[in-house]
Amino acid sequence: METSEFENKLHHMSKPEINQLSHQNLVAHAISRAKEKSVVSLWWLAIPAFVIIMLWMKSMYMPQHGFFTYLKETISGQPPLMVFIFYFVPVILTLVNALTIKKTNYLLGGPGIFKLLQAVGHNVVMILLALFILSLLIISQ
Amino acid sequence: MSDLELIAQIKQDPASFSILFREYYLPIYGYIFRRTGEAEAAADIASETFAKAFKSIPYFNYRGIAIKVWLYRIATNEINLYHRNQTKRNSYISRLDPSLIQQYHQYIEDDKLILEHELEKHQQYLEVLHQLKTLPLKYQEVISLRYFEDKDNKEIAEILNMNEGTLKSILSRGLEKLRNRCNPI
Repeated sequence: METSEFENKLHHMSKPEINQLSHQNLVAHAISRAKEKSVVSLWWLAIPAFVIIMLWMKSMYMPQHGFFTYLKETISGQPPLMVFIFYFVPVILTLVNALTIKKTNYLLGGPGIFKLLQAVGHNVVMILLALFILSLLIISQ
Repeated sequence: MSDLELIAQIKQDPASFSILFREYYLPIYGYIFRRTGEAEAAADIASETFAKAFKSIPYFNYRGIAIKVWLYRIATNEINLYHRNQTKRNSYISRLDPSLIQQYHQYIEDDKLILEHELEKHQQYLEVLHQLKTLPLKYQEVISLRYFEDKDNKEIAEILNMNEGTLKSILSRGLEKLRNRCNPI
């Protein structure tokens, strides 16, 4: 069969039609009760943020060394765990949130910068926090 | 009511989303059902599609694309997710009261019976769908929009957010692959 003939066949073949659905009204009811999901990824950043706050407090109470010195000591003391917390988690979360923003922009049909930022505010906050943690680590090296 | 007026009304009163839901649920469900051939999965994907639309509509930009195109775009994305993961989500339905969940499953069974009966009447379509599902998703989406939904190239390009040249090229290659699978030499 030639491609044009096959194309013609596809155009003219009968397809299933849907005229009525019983479940439709319940879906509408369920959606109207939908609430925003919590930002689960925030909990991941809470771990390095907690460590940073602890080290900052330590530097306040024991001012003989600065915050970055304590941070460097902590990281060199437990490399695999700290690499996971300070490198892996922020990098992954930055990428995930950046991809979410990209997808949201695609789904919303390019709503403009202000509305996009409104829609993805929590993603932007997550990225900024992750980059802040990464930058602290880079500065301490 | 025009799309523009409807969006303005929903932004002012979210309850007006029901107008959009009533107008577009059947066509969007139909599109998903013709893509998947599965009544229950189609209900799951359609509910996710409209839930995402409900959450995103305050930020929707009418100048970009029309509501119908936007819903097709979300639905296409959700279908592709379903094909990649093959998992049921039903997250919105699970938040209903237990008695309503039971009722929902009963309705789904009723719809399934009717739709399976409807599918049996279109054997040629079922054979094409069976072969289409073996192709990569990029071919599945353009072929189903073009030949199952009778969309023109301009509308498909808008739904898939690609230029018409790329679309024509994917469509032509996909059609050739599908033809070879439907008529093995």
